[in-house]
Amino acid sequence: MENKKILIYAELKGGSLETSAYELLAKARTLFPAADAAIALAIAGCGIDEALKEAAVSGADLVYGVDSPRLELYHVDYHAEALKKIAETFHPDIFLIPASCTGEELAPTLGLKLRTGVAAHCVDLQVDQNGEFLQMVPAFGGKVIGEIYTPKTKPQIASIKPGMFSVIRQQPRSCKTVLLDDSFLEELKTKIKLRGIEKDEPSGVPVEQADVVVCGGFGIETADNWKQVERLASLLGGAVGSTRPAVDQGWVSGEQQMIGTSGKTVRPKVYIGAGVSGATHHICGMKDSNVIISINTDKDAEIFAVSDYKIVGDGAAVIKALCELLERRQ
Amino acid sequence: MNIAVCVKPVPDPEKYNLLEIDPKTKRLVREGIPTIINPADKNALEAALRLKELHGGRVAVISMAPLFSQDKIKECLAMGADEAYLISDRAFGGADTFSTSYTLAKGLEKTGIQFDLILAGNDSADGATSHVPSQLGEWMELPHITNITEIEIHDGIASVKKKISDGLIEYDMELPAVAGIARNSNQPRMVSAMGIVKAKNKKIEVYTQKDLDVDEGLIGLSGSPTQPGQLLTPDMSRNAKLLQGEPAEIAAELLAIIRKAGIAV
Ligand SMILES: Cc1cc2nc3c(=O)[nH]c(=O)nc-3n(C[C@H](O)[C@H](O)[C@H](O)COP(=O)(O)OP(=O)(O)OC[C@H]3O[C@@H](n4cnc5c(N)ncnc54)[C@H](O)[C@@H]3O)c2cc1C
Repeated sequence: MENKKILIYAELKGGSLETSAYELLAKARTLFPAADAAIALAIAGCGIDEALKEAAVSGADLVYGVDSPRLELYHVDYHAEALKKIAETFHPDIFLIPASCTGEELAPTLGLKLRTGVAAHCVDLQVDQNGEFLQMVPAFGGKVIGEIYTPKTKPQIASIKPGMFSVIRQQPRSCKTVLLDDSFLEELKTKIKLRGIEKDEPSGVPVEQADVVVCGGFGIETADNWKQVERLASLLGGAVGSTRPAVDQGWVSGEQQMIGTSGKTVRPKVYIGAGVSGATHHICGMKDSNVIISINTDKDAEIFAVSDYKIVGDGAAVIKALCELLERRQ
Repeated sequence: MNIAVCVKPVPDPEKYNLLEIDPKTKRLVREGIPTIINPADKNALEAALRLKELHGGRVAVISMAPLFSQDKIKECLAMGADEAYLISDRAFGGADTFSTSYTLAKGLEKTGIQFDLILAGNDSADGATSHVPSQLGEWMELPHITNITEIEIHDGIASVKKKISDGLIEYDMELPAVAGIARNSNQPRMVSAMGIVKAKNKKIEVYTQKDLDVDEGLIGLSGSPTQPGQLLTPDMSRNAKLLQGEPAEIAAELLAIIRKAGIAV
């Protein structure tokens, strides 16, 4: 059997590789332990010299790059075309794409362009006893996990939420870098014109990278109480997380910190949930946290079933008491 | 302006905690869980109705679903859609997003209407792939953008704002185009009594396989590049230890737990 070829879309952030590239690389390495797989990173951006260098020592076997001013900001047509070109050059068996806000759109688009199947938001990737690539996808907000095979077409495309797999740094390998000619992008006709970008104010530590997440739900009750959630996150050097209703209440601005199927996937050392009921949609995004602590007035709250420690009581009050204790100790 | 809105009846997502898998048949037991119109699709329909109010024209809803979903499609008509198309045939069953979007594209073609804009909810509550809007755009060879929170039409162009991880990105798409509308991006209107009365006279046209010009190799389960294996319910349960006492006592216990978990405070 020929060695499998795995392509990973390595997204960029400020000129360097997004953490998701390392997460997917680590996972990809574990898939075919017996037969050494050839793993390539695909980079599509503008001014990617540094990213290519970084990728060359990431533990990948190959790096493909498309460097073009058309790829400076995200544009579905240009990015999909660049990745298609790379896929058609490398001919991967498996193509892993981070299910970020942009990757989530590129994966299905590429699925059609390459006439193949796409498994969305995989929570795990495996190889079954017959050597077939098996993708585990969540359904019904994560209540159910379904196995997905892509038996007939290649590449088998899988999208994976950032944060789903851990980063395990790989030993650099002898790595070849291939920069593709970008003239095909100049020729590409598009009916989409990019007009601009409005960035949110960055709000402290990104929730998916924090060691401690203090997550407030609807049970925090007031904007004033919400300040306690922020205070505790800051005292613990962590990040604020939220549920959907907390966003709807306007206690947090935007969805950057929302945890769950339509938000972020987190796996901190400590997750503290206060006034969070534990809906399937939310649990899906935090269940892999190391230690889960929950505070809820309802002794039968669903969140308690997935917690290591539970407190039946007022969320804001317990959080405030912990803040005061931490402040006294400082 | 002719606007199509793709809608899907789904089990009510507020009740997913109740879902189970039958240990014998390995199939999903969804008894007692009502069917609703997918929440994001209502946002898409609302967006379409607002555009119609501004620019005139008509709004058609289209769905690929079992026949018994007619009730739910009626609800869309009662909200204000002008007509509905229901693609319904066993042959389409088990379709993944690749064949679903193909079949929807063929259904839209069959209506004979020149649509300026095709909207869909960005993702469905059940499968939640968010694939269909992009893939529909690819099949129809139209520009497509997903995760849209705002949409305006002017001079044959749709100006949209797309949600990205750290903000919004703005694009202009030449019409006709396909747009995936984000859930919660607007407040879908309630169905009024008048709406229900009016809906009685609106048509729901049903298309079966023989009505559509479809390639059999691209429909239903057998035409889908992805194939389902087993369903599993992950066991996420932990054995929670109850902490009791005054808030100050609990705080002290929590601090010890947090430190033990490797947080230096
Ligand atoms: C398609 C879809 C996708 C979704 N995606 C997400 C997602 O990604 N993330 C997400 O979070 N949600 C998501 N939701 C919403 C989700 O289903 C739940 O509605 C949501 O998670 C509930 O948030 P909550 O726990 O804050 O609020 P509620 O469910 O209202 O729970 C509030 C809890 O607070 C408790 N409480 C009340 N007062 C107090 C008090 N004083 N002290 C302590 N506890 C108190 C109550 O007992 C209750 O358990 C999604 C929904 C749909 C339909």
